[in-house]
Amino acid sequence: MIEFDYVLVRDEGTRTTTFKPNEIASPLPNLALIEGPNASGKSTLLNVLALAFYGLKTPRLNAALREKIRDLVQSDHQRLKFRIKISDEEGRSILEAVKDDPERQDIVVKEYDGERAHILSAEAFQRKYNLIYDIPDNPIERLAQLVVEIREVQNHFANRVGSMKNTILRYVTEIKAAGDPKLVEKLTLTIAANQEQAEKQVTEKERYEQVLTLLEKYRIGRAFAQAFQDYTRVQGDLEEAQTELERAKKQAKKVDSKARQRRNAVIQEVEEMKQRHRSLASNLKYILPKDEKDRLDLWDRIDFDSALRQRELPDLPWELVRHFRGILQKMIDGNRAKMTEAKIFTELLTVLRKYRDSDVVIPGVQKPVIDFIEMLEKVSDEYESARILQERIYSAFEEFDKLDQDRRELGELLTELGSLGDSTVTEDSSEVFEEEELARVVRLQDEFAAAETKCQHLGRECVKVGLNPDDVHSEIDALASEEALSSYLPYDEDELRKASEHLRADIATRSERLKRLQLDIEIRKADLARLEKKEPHRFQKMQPQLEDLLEKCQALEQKLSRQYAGYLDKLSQQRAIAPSSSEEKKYFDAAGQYLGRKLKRVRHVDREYEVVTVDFPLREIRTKEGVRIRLSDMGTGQSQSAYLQGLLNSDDDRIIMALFDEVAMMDSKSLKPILRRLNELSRAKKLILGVVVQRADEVRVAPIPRLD
Amino acid sequence: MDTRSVDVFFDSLLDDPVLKKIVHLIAEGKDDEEIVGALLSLKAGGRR
Repeated sequence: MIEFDYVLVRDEGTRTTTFKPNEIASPLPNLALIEGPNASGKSTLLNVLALAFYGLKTPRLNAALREKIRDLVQSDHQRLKFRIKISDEEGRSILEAVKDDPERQDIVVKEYDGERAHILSAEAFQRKYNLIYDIPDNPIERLAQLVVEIREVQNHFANRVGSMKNTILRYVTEIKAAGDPKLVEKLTLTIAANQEQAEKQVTEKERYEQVLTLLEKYRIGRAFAQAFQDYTRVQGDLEEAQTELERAKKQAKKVDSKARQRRNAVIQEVEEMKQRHRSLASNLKYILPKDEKDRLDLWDRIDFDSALRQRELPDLPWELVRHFRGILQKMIDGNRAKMTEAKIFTELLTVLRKYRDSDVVIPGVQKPVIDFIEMLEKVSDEYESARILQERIYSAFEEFDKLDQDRRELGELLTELGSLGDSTVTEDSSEVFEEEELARVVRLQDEFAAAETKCQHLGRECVKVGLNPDDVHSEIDALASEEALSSYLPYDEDELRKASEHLRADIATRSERLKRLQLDIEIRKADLARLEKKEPHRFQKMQPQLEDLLEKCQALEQKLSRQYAGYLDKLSQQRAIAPSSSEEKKYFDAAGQYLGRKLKRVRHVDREYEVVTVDFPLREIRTKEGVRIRLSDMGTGQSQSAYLQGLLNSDDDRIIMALFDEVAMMDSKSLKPILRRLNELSRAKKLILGVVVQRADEVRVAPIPRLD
Repeated sequence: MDTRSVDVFFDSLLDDPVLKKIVHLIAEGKDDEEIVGALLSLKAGGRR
């Protein structure tokens, strides 16, 4: 039974009208068929019933009807209050809805459990009851509305999957930031490895710095010793030149121009030989074995100035030259293979050093350039010294040859000078001898001043690096016996300076790498400390599975929001369509079956059919009876019936409250299955209220016939 | 929403059992955390 009472006050501008149940009186049977003319209050009753049972909060309510019931409570010109009560056929109360205050929108819905009643919220109501309020219209449009329903469902699922994807993403982010024991272990191992690497770098850097300190001492010591030797020699030459000048002044010796030219040539040749002799002595000193020292002393004592004083060739100790050459040749033969390797390594290192700061990794050894240089340097240290030794030896051979040639040329010059004899001295000769000696003294004075300055400068450098200039030879000998410097002994001054520069550059690079490594260690230690303070995430061990799920969600979201939405667009077209892929065909089939289940039964011509599916590509309905009904052939009434039955054939377990307005446009054959379905649902206790309204000239209220 | 029909609809469309399960759990009205938890325990069970 449906008991109802309502008061609707409508402000119509010039007057106020009050509507109350009048021609359609309370109570009504639970299944009621109401007929009546316009303004008899039948639609108002349906609107009030729908409003009373949360019609405004019911999803997918017919839009036009929703507007009407909203108007009842949300417009300025209408004031409504009501009381509705639904009881079953035995008179037991089921539901009651009350709106007491016309000025407020609050509606209280109560559900009865025996004599006791409790309030039902809209959500609770909708979980248990399914309010259906509809009005038939074009069947094709209704089908389109069902398609819209699929779209809404797809969108809803796509949104839910999107939300789930975000939840998984959040978990993954949280896991990454949490104290993962595996990450902690990995970080600890990396820090330990980097610390080991840093310690190795520190040791290597210190070793390089020690070598550099020794090398600098050795280089400066040797430079000072050489400078002091030059200084002493120039000092001796100057004293001798000054003596010669004094002698020339006393003798007032005159020489003719020819003799003067010869004499100058002799002087120049002697100076060149002296220079070559000094260079050779210096070279031999560093390449010959130490037990050759006595012979080197003999070599040092060759007096080239005797050529000028006594006009005869200086006495070269040829036995000594042969001896030295023999030793040098043996050194060359013994090192030939090593020399070739030395050449390769030296050239390779020259190229690589240009890229020492590069991060390029050398294939095969899988090491960065700087580490590869380090490896090559270790193995090529002895090659480098072998290479330089080889150069020195070849240079010594050349010097020996040139010295021999110089000696022959000097012999010729002395012979020419001797052939001029005393007759070369004439009264007409100018006083050139004294001038020449004077010029030599001046030149030597300049040389002496330069040698003295260099000596003083290098003496100060010696003190700076901790060498005693007064005892520099024994200090050089001590340094030369250092293992770290053994490979540098054959180097000349310039090569020693370059070796120092290379060492400095290596140390700077190592310092830079060490700094980077230490910074990396600090950062990782801070990360480790932060991670160790954190608890592992509850899904910590499931990260790969979560990432796998994330991929699945992305794929599903994509399917729902794009792929299926595209298929649905195609399916919504009001014409026959051909699926372009097997997946699209599968979708059309599934959608057709879904809509078939919703429609359940349709009436065509004069029969009812059980719907199997809606074939969208062919635009037809297939029935269990094997009949195919083209959508375009379906009468309006039949389609209405199909739609309303679709609403009643929901698969869930909720109890239905059905309100159908304006069914008069359907013929009796179309209406019949609906009325029969309402009865079936009522008998199955799946429906507590069914009101069907249609227009007629007279008001008539009757229970819905059973039509079995 | 007629969840049972929707469930059947998606079930016939999807081949991947995990995707079927996701749809099924959404149709059942489970929230994100419940769905992720259920799927992970399913995977953990599958591994065992």
